[in-house]
Amino acid sequence: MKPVPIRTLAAAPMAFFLMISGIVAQERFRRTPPPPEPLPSLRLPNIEHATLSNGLRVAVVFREGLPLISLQLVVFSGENASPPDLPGTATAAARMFDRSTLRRSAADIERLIDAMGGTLSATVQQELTIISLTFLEEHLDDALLLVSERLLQPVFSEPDWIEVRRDLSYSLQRQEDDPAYISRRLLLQRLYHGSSVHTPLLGSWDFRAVRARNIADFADRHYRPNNVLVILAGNVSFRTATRKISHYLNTWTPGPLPAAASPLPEPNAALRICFVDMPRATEATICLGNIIPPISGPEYFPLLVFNQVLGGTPHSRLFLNLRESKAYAYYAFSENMFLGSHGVFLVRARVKPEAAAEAVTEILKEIRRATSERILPAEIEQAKSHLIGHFPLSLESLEQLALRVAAVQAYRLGSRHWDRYLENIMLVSAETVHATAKKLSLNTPLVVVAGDRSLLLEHLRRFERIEVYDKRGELQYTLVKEK
Amino acid sequence: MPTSLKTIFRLGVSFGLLFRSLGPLPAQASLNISVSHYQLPNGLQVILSEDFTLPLVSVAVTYKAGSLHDPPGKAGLAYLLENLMFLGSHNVGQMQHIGYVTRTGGTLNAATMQDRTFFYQTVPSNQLALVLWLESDRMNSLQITPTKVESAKKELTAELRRRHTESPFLKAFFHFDQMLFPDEAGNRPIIGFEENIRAITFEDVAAFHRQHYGPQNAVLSITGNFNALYLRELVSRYFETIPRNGDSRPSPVPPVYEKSSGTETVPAAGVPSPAVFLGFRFPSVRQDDEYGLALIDYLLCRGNTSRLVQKAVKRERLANQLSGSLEKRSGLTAYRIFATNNNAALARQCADAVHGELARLRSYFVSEEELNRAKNLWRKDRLDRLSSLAERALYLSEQLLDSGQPRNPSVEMSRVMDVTPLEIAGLMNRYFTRDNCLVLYILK
Repeated sequence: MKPVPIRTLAAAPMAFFLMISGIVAQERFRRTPPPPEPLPSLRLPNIEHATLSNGLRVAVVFREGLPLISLQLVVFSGENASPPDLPGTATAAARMFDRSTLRRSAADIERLIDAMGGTLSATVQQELTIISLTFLEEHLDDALLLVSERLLQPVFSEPDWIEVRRDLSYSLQRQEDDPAYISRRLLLQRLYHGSSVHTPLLGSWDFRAVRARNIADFADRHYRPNNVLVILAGNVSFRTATRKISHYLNTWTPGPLPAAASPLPEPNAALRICFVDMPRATEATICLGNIIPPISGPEYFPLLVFNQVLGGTPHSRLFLNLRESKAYAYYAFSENMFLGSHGVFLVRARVKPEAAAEAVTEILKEIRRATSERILPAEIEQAKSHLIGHFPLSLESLEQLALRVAAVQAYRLGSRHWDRYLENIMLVSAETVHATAKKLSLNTPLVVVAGDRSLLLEHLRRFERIEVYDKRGELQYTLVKEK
Repeated sequence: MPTSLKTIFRLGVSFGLLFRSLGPLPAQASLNISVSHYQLPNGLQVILSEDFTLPLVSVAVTYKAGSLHDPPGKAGLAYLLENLMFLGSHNVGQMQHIGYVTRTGGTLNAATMQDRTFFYQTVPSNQLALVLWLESDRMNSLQITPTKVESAKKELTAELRRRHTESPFLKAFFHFDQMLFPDEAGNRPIIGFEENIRAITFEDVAAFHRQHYGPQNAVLSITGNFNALYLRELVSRYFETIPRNGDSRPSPVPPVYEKSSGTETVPAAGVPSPAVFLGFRFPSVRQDDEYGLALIDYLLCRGNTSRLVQKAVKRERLANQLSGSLEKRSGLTAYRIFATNNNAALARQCADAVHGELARLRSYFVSEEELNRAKNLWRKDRLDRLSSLAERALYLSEQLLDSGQPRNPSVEMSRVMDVTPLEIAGLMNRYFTRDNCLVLYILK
């Protein structure tokens, strides 16, 4: 038996004292958590919308409070719309949004944005591009003028593009050192292989063939009013917002609508293990997942609850098992990524290298348990309670509010995802979760492990077959277990 | 035409009023944020700020104990105690605090700083009593055992190693801390050193907790959707009977600092690129100067049009990235500039370019247009912060701890909006000089 250190023995009475001090003075109300008050009512702001004569959709959400406005420009084209031989064109077009126009240089535009107290960011997903501009409310006209100049009189010059590409490449090179980014990107690349869906997680090399004229062509085709939605959130009325947007954007001419992507990705049908070598990574990063139905499907709400039970929080099954119980993981979470045409269910974990194989096995076991066994109603209710309680938190900042409205409007989800959102979560039962999870291919995910091969491959040998990829996603070789 | 400042400063003439009248100031700074403050008999300070936008409340508890209070050779102790605060109190089991908050849909976090440690959570407003119960339980009856201390030490050591792997410049940051903040208490890393963490004993933790984690050393800040009368009842119920801890000690008295200059070069393996740090100390800075210094941060390094980003990153391409930060540690406020470069020659050119730009700001008044741009960016960032209930609760606690009273954010905002080009030039000439500049090159 291991001897107890003297220091620990000496410390014991004090520990006891610390524990007992609370007991002596314990008041009755301290013993149990207070019950919650009745659930507060959440009054959601109205989403008011209009369509201009050129087809531009406008949505306005009024919120009083701090003097800020958030503007979201949603283009219904994302990386899927980049030409197959020019990946990254959609991202390039979005990142050029603060560059020159016929009236202003890029430097003038940067000055204008800073003068508004503005923050401009661009997010490109598979199906959408979202340009987000948040600014001080007194600069609404400046913001709309800037947006209108950039949409109606853009200049796509090679020098501007070279500068943007330099910044993009630098930030992507940094991300390529991150196993979480690399593993997620490989997962999406493999899941989308053979379909018309492209991962928006790009590589620093992806833009080499893209030229300013390609970006101009892309913008000319996709940045058209009938392919765009503008959302304004903040201290601005619907009347003022629509009047001003119409003033600045009514001469923007529509174009033919781009075709939707097809074929869509099919769920992975059998378990596949992929490995990416990340030299010097001290831990193993796991990212596994599969294709699920789109955001508008009836599976959406049951899958939200399922995800919550499995891995949505540090109190979900994956975290409690892999970190708290087995001590394999630094973190282990699951998530749903819902899009208009499909979704992706993901589990991500960072684990000790020597526990990589066990961690993958445990994750698969937890998924199997959650899909094959009926989840106890109490666990379902806890998950629902989290989702219901968290909903107002997801609307706290203006930008969060505007982005939520953007999703509702862009995917035409209607009140099911807005004022009836909480009601829909409440309607989810253990049975619907079970039925939904059972019919999806959650048990046959594609598994990506990223880490240092000298630390990891030995531990992964238990798997029958391992596909080894480089950081770009090119298959290098396949390891097959000897029979 | 830029005016040369040197003559004006030699004459000692104040042109403050002149500049206050130049050009329109950015729009009115007043904000509709209510703030009230009171103190319980046990010394706990309570700040309340109502906001009925959403049915949410944030509760933040800040203890005036941070890495400055770590005993010598025990760097990391304050941070270790932060972690132990989640490992159970008399009525709340290990990790249950997280479980209770998570189940409500709420979010929570904590952080240790140099002079304070804070814990905060945002939950649906009907769960306010639950959060007050949780925070009061760990304030009243935290359960620290030798086993928990050893387990937390192990976690902390693993986290330290992980951070070194994930942030290759971390070691260089620690090195520059030692140059910029000469007092050992100010330059020790919050997360500690591995050998220091190993040396921490259960007795150290118990003593630190006893000295610093009592109600008389804490601020409870609550923001969001609540009924103030009912909330006061709840605060009274859960916190009023928590006894003061007997032997609270005042914060260590910071030494008197002086300006300093010097250059060091360290070779660093494992960093992705060469880099350079430049730092400026502001000894005996006045409270009013801090508003001007906040704007200098924006003029130099924030936003796409800031001087150093324009010059070193965009125009001359000497740096891949450049950032600045204003920091206060152990009574010393200082400014740090950090840039990553493609090679050693560019790192040196980058430092020269920074000095060149600082010289321009020392010699010529910043234009009203440029200053207003900096003010608007600062204001937007401040409003962004205040739009989060948790951040607002922490902001109000900070104000109370820094100035002795909880101030409405409008006060700070109007002070910053009133800063003049002359004040900027004065601060630049007083502090941003070569004889007050410390430089560290990190070369591969």
